[in-house]
Amino acid sequence: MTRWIKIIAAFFTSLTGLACFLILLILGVIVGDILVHGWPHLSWEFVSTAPSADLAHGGIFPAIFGTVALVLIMTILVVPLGVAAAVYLHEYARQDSKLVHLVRLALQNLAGVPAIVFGLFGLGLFVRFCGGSIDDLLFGGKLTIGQPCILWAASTLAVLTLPTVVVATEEALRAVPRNYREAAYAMGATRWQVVRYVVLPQSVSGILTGGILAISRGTGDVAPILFTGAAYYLAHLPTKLNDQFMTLGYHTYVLTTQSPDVEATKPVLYSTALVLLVLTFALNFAAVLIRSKIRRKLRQT
Amino acid sequence: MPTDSQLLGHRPRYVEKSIELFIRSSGFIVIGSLVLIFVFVAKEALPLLTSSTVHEEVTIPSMLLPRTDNTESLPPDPTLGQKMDAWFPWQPVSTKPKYSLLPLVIGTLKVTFVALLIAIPIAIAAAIFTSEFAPQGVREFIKPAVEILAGIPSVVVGFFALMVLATFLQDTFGLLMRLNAITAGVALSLAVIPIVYTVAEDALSAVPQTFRDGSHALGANRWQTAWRVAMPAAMPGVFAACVLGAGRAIGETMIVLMSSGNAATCSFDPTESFRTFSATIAAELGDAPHGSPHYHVLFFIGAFLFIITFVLNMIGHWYVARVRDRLAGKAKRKMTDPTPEAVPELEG
Amino acid sequence: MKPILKLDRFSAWYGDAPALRDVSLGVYPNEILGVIGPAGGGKTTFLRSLNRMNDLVLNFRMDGTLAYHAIDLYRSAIDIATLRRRLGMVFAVPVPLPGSITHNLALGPRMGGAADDLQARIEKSLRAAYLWEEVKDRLDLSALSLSGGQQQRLCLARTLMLEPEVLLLDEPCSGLDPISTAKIEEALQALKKDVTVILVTNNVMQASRVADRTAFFLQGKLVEVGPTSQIFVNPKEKVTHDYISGRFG
Repeated sequence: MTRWIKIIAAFFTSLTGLACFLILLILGVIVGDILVHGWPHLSWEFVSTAPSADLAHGGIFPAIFGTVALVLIMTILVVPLGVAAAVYLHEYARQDSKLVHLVRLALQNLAGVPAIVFGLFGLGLFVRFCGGSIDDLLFGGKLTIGQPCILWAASTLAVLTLPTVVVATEEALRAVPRNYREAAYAMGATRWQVVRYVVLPQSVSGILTGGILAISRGTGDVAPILFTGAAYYLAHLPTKLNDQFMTLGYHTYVLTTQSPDVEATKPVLYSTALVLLVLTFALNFAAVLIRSKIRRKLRQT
Repeated sequence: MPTDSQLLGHRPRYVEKSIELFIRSSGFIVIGSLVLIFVFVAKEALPLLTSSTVHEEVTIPSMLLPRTDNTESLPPDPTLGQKMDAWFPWQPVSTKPKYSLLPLVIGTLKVTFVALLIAIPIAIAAAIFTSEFAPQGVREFIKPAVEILAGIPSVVVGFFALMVLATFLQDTFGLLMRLNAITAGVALSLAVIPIVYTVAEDALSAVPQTFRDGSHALGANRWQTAWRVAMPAAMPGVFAACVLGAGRAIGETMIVLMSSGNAATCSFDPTESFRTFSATIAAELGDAPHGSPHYHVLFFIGAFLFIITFVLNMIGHWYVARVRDRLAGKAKRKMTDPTPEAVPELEG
Repeated sequence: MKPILKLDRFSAWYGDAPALRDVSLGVYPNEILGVIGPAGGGKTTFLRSLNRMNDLVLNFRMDGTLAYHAIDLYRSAIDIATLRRRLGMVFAVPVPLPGSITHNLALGPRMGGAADDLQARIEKSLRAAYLWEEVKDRLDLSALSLSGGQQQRLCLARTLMLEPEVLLLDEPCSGLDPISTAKIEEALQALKKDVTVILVTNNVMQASRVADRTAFFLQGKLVEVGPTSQIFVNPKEKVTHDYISGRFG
């Protein structure tokens, strides 16, 4: 009887192990497939030149440039706001207040809103409402910034990645020992001085982690930028805030689904996906490294 | 030596006050963002309820009820499937636009069902293995791997599904259509697994070790302990994991957009192409003229998606909080928690 | 002589739990006031009430008067940051902030907006804390690399950088070796001519060595206060005698 129990136990245990193995397997297959098919076509020329008109040849430099520019603007928008919100939640607000509870609830829900709804939101609020109002007020109604462009796409992504930055920053703030703050108060510091001189300098790595994770999310998410500024073939690089732009993710999507000749564009497509994947992984890896360094330091204190 | 007059009264601190104003208002900005998302999406959907010009083409009842006036396209002696397609058509781009939501509902449900059917068992089993059986070294390998899987952009997953998975599944199972709910469901599960795994594993790890020790002391082996002690204790969290996973599946756009075949039919057959809510918005908004009924319908779908995922998220997070509360006071302090000090809690 | 700090029927609670009951006490300029008593007696609450550090505790309540230079600290509109610079505090566990020794010492003046003549003031404070000789060549090194005794003296020097009028020390030598303890006690004796010192201590012998007057707190009440020699040799209350002689503690 006990042997039968042991057999059942072993069976189910190995099933769970199999599940883990399956996950690792599929991860390996995806990464491996993209690596194998994308690597041959990768070259310095590929990442530094523009694509040809039929998208089947040439490089993806404009897509890389657009991705970087988009993410840069997004970071400038999201990091100050995210850090401020985290500082508010952890350093300023009374922990039992209704407002704090609401803000945390809002953050959790923001993180769960579908990316395409963010795209609609970006279109409705930023492009139409904000852009349209700016056009009416500053440009006499001329269509300047009330159209899909890099500014609004970056703003949309900033709202999308806000929870990421806030959570990472709060984790960093929490790691600053309580008595550091006490010592600063006892030296006659105001609350902001405690944050500025003691808490924030200690939290820089955590904020950096949050920023990197946000960047990683911003490079890969295509749905929010579908209608807020992404384009698949532009003659010029985006240089003004109201320019449209190309990105690696959108380029991958278009090449996959709208390519006239799938076989011809396959090498370019795979290499584009590879570049996107490598970029995303590198960013995530950097964030994980910094985060584990922080956690190790925390365990020592 | 500072004088008493300096003690009374305050030094002007303008820069500091404005920074603090920004900090204090950031909380409102966060709440405001969520509210604005719904407001601005619903705002563009509102004409569906209020505008009479829109009502000429489409109304909310017309999106839900069958249309019996579309039967001229039917062949003689139609099957149930063909009849359904005629009664509930989604054809916004045609001479006589028709906006029945049923194909989209069925499509969304189809792929979500397949994705959850695959993702939930795998993710939960993996979570059980990670928290109950795996040695520390293996644990430190699996968790990052799942994080990596979560980090793969959904457009890349969709790309993989279209390029590799579709052909593989079609060859293996002899499927008629290359892009169908099974292909899309498998691809979608890749995005759902990390969420279900992470939340379930957190819930299982939060179960106090004393529970397991007590079970072992009663003579149970590790599997019995895992299945009959740890799992039930973590059940709210595991349930939450599934709910959050479902929310993710319903809201996912790119994967489905690229691997579903984008055919709005009412068929429940998972081997056929289909359309979901999110993919419909993504595929059609670009072509819908601003202000047209089609445009408003798409925003309506967006508002609807928002509400569904909002409700699912609230349910999921409520259960996660329940796990936390349930085990508070009994749970062993995790490494990342600072130990409580004798000094009372400092006010924030 | 008028007291620099005067408590008049001062009471304090954390939520519903009383921490201080009807404490009436005066602290006089340029004295070292020792505060002794068993744990939970209210010594730390008393000390932290003086520079309003208890404001940081969520459910702190007070009643009565606490006057500093005749200003009611809890009822007047005072600038708390300035108050805490006048009444500088040193904690039981040394809290060196991450950064160099110079950074730690310069922080107080920088935040207070009076960051001139730093080098001279740094040397003066380190000398007063009996730490100058040991670190004068290592000012740029991390404060965390100092030993426990050195770190505590650094915290003392850090507080002295604010040029306080009163020094509040909360069991500063607990956990320190005898040599560091002796150095700090020496420093306090020398500082007496410039500042008033209130020294909370668990070590009754330390009070007898260092304090001019001693106050004995028990369960939130001020049992007795008087010249140290009188308290130790001929205390008015029996319970004071019992505590000092180690009958309980």
